[in-house]
Amino acid sequence: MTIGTKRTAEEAEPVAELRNIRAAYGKNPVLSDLSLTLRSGEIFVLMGPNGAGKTTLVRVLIGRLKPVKGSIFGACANQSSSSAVRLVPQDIALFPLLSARENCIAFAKMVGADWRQALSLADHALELTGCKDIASTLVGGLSGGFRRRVNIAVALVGNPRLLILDEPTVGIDAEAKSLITQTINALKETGISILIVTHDFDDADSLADRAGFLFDGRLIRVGAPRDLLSAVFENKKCIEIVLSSLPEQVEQQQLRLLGATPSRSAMIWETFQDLGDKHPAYILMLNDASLPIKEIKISDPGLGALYRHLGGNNPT
Amino acid sequence: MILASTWIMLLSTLRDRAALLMSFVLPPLLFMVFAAIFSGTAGSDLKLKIGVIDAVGNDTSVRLVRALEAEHSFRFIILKSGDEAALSDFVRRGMADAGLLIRGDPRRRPDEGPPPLLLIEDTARPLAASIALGQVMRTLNEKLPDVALSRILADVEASGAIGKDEREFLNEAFRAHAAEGASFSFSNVIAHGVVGQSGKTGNGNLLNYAGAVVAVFLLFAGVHGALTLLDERANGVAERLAIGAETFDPTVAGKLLYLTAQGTLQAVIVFATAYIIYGASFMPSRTGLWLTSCILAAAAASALALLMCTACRSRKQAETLTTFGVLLLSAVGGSMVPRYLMPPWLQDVGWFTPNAWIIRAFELAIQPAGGIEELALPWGVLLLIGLVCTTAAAWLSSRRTAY
Repeated sequence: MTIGTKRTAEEAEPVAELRNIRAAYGKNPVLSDLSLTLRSGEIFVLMGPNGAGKTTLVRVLIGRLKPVKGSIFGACANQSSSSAVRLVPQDIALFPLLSARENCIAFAKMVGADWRQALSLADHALELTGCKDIASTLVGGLSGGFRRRVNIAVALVGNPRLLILDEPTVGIDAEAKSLITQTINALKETGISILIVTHDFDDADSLADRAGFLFDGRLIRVGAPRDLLSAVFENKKCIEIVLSSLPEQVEQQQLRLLGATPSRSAMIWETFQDLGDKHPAYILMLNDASLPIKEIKISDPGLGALYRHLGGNNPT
Repeated sequence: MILASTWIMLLSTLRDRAALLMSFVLPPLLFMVFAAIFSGTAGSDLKLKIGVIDAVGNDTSVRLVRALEAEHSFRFIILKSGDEAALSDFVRRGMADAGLLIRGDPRRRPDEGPPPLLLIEDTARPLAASIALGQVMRTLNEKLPDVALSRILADVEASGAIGKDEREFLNEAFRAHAAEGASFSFSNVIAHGVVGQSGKTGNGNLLNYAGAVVAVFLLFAGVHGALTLLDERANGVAERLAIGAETFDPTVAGKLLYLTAQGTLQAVIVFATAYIIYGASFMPSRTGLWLTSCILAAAAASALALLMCTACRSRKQAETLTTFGVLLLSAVGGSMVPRYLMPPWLQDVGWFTPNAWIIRAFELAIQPAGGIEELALPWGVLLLIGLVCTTAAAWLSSRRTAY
């Protein structure tokens, strides 16, 4: 493995670069020949089924796991002496009996800041994440949404160049989720590079500048969502057929003949069709198929559809 | 990172009422209970209840009953009538810790029947009977010496050295001598000397119990603080701080620093309770030795607690292991029962516990005599426990979070 620093100016400045990474736990290989570049001011969304190697990739990026092969450049090189990469874990990794501000100060101190720097970094991080008003509240007494934001604020105290968020919106309500999404977009504006590991395709669709799909330790698709989707779906629309009851065997055969496959549940099927101007005719045909249809939704395919197309099971 | 970790522990403890109670209120409370039980501070003496029946009712037995009633170290419950069965039942029902039946004239000759006094023991309270036996013998010797001597004279007569007339003459002489209140040298064989702290409240004993209680709570409070390592491992804080990337986890040193300071304060509070409530104190010149013992004891107990917790994979596992470990160490190490009451083999095993060394360090530090050279061994052992356990805990904590 080679570790060094490299600065190139492509579309945006690369913050971290992994080349041909192979990582393993003992004799069990997890990542194979993985290459990835993360750029400043971009949000990269990483998706993949459980066990695909997402957590392992994150551990390589934050320097917790040394790859057995490959090269690391930029912020992720020489992690032990740098605060360039920070992880926001899925769990609320905070001290519950400390206030939001004290948590930020504590983590700033732990990454080597002196007291004056720590105070300044803490206030800046709380402002960036919209937590200034709750700075003095003990974390244990905060709502789920605010805890998630403080969880992010704490990672910002070292002024990282790369911020990794593991499932940042899991387990919170829609309003809190919207606030987290706003916070992430605001952070992007500061020029920081953001990597989001998620199973939430709504998040992925709304946040991703680029997305990557990790299957069996390999990044099988990487690119801007529009490019990835058009390469697979071209002009096709996603037709979602919501059933009112579980389909019988005959009904399942009918749905398959229409090119549909089960989507998020056994009662929601989807198919991708280039309908052109044939929308009404297609809907009539579906209605005539004597299926227990409750609702038909037609939309542009999203990253969730692409994930399923690539063979991923619906994680939710 | 070390000082930040200490600061986090301090703030977390100050805001955790349960931890504050456990660390600073429970130890002095438990000490007061121990002091009351073992040092007789609640009433100045151990007060066993002894049920007494005088089935004879002659001059001698009445003298004995009155002498026993005058003893302040016991509560004698005089039953007006009854026999051995009644007294046994009285003791069995827990109305008294032991029973004394005066079933014959205490002066009668040994060949005239069974022993005149019968002590009834409850097997559930064997110590009470032993203590009562000693006290009755002491009362007989000191308050009724002529009675004790009359039995000796009967033995001498039986050996043929004196005749009946001589025995009766001597008996009368001793009785007259006793009636005048004169002292008998045979009952005054043993003088009572004291080493260590002394005073009306039994300073040394109290301070030893303070040390014993401190040892238990240093371990318990250490475990309570050390469990945060497992919480931080479970909730992702450890991963966030990249613990595991280094060979030794620096937060362990931060926690040790805090727990040592907290433990020292705990010890000071317990000893202050002994001073304020019971007036137990030691010479001001020993303060330095005592304070050093406090610090080393706190460091050793905290380091051991950190090691026990880092050796576990989860909080639940650690709670089980540490409760078992702390109670076992405290029982064997003399924090619950003084080690001199234990069988010799258990006393030897006790030296493998930090409690025994902590108690020993306090004992040597507060006694009026002796210098630093006597403390070198307990201090050395405590320092060694602290260093070895901290290093092992920091290494283990790092390994537990490494991949």
